[in-house]
Amino acid sequence: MEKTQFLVKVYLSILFIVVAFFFYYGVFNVFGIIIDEFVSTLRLMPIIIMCFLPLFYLANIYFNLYHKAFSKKFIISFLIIVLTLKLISLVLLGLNYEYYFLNPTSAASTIIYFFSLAFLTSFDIFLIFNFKKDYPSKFNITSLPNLSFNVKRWWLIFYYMCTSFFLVSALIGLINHNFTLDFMNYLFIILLCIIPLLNLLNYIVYFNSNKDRIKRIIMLVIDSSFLLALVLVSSSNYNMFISLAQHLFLLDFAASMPISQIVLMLLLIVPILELSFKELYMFLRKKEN
Amino acid sequence: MKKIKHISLLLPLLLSSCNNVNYELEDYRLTLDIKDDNFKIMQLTDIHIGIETNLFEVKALIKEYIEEVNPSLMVLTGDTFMNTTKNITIDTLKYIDSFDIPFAYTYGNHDLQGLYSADFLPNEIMKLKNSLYIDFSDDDLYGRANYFIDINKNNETLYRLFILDSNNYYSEGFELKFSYDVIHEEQIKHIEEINEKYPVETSIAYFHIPFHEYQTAYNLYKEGKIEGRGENNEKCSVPYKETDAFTRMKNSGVKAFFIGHDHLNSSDLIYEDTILSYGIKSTYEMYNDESLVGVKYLSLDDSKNITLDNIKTYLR
Repeated sequence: MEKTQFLVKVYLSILFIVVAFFFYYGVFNVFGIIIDEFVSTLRLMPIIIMCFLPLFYLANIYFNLYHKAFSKKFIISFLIIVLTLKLISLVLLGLNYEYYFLNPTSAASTIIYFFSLAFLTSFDIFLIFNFKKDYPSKFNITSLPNLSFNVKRWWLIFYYMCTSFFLVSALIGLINHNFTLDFMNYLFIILLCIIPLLNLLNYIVYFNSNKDRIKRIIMLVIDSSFLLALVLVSSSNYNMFISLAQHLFLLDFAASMPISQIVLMLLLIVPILELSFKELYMFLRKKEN
Repeated sequence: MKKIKHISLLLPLLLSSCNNVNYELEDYRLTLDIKDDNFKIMQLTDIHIGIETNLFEVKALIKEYIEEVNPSLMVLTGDTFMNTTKNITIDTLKYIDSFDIPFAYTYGNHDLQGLYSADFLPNEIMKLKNSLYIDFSDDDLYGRANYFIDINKNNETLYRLFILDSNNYYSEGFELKFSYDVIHEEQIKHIEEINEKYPVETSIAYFHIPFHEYQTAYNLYKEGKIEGRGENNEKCSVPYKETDAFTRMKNSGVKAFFIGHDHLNSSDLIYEDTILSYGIKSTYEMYNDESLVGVKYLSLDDSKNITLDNIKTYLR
């Protein structure tokens, strides 16, 4: 059972990275629609649907593994929803034939579209032919005691989406940047983009067990230091972000507002509050005892 | 521990490579020899090619402008790209290059917002055979493109074009909205030094973000106090502070300024004996006025003089 749980975690981690890339590309296309004042909505919708659908699948896989096994009714509804979305995207793809098939520069979008379509459809087929009432096994991982609370679940979905976006931003940033230019500042930005992932792992997979106090405190220190550094840099040398990170924080500059920094602060403040409350609660309980 | 030692030795090496190089003024010069009596400089601005763009349409527009104007030189004055990928960028640049017409390139506030580093775009532009472009990433000048093109005929410089990076954003601390940056002091000083060392009678400047003087001049034009033509249908989006850049560039022989940035503005004004001209948005991408899509071009002769009559417009 231990080995199976480990393999499931590895599988989910790989899936997480793949889905994160899809999600990032989807958001990148949504930027396009916003920038274009929604003129290109129908043109970009097929790729956006196929980039966001993997996230919908992954959310449901998590739900199935850690919260509630798929029922027959749920699977039928799920398949109807994804099939409808896929059909809509295929129709729109056909209507925008010129953009997707004749335009060499959109080749990447077309490849991503079909890769996603094939990947997800194979999962659908697997789901149909391998369905058993008690399939798959429900794993009870102790690190998810509060997942059933709706607020926490929605917060985790939001956190997951932001983490995906910043993680892929960091990876792309690592590949793209010439590190001989402003090495230390750029490294700070890249680390800042990876911090949400640590928190997500803390939330979901490894640390957040009530027993593991040291890991909780380490996370609290990391989050607090990065939040402090972000606030200090933001208030003293904000133009560093502007000159260095335009290719990472695209929407900020499209909207002329520091959206990424605000979201990053939020992604750091909430875990700090949560971990602090937990520490305080544990301290008070210990004192009572 | 050994590994940490290696890294600590490597760090100063990496950081030391950030040192700026002092280039000679001559290193920023490009020349273009002309033979015709009529020399046309076509300004393409605010093309805004992104992931959402249907490149067929944009390429058809560029082709149409080139066929209609038949330019000797094209100047892309910023915001050519926004929210784009490497593939799209390379494809577009190669297309522009395929016409075998020299072209100069400068940056708007959006050009570096793509899935590439700040080095990618200049490297790709410099690879093209018709590009007139200089960018020293290790010089001590602020911005990416700060160079000049001397337009020569019979070994005489008739006109000088200053291609400038008007930079992008500026923020005083953590603000909820960015302001636009200014052309920096060292960039202006650079122009003064060039003019001092290699003086010419008439210079023309191309960049992206307007000076504050553009708004002042337009207000005077609306009051009937200065000569001009065309309309501005939106407020000039000027930098966060006023500088003496306009005055100092004017004193360095710049007789005409051509910019982009504000998609709905198309005025040509004469302010303090200098032409302040807005380029016309060249595509339908992003916000635009459909009746105001096209190009402006400067039709020059040997007179070394620029008036409003030299500025022509092709509207779709």
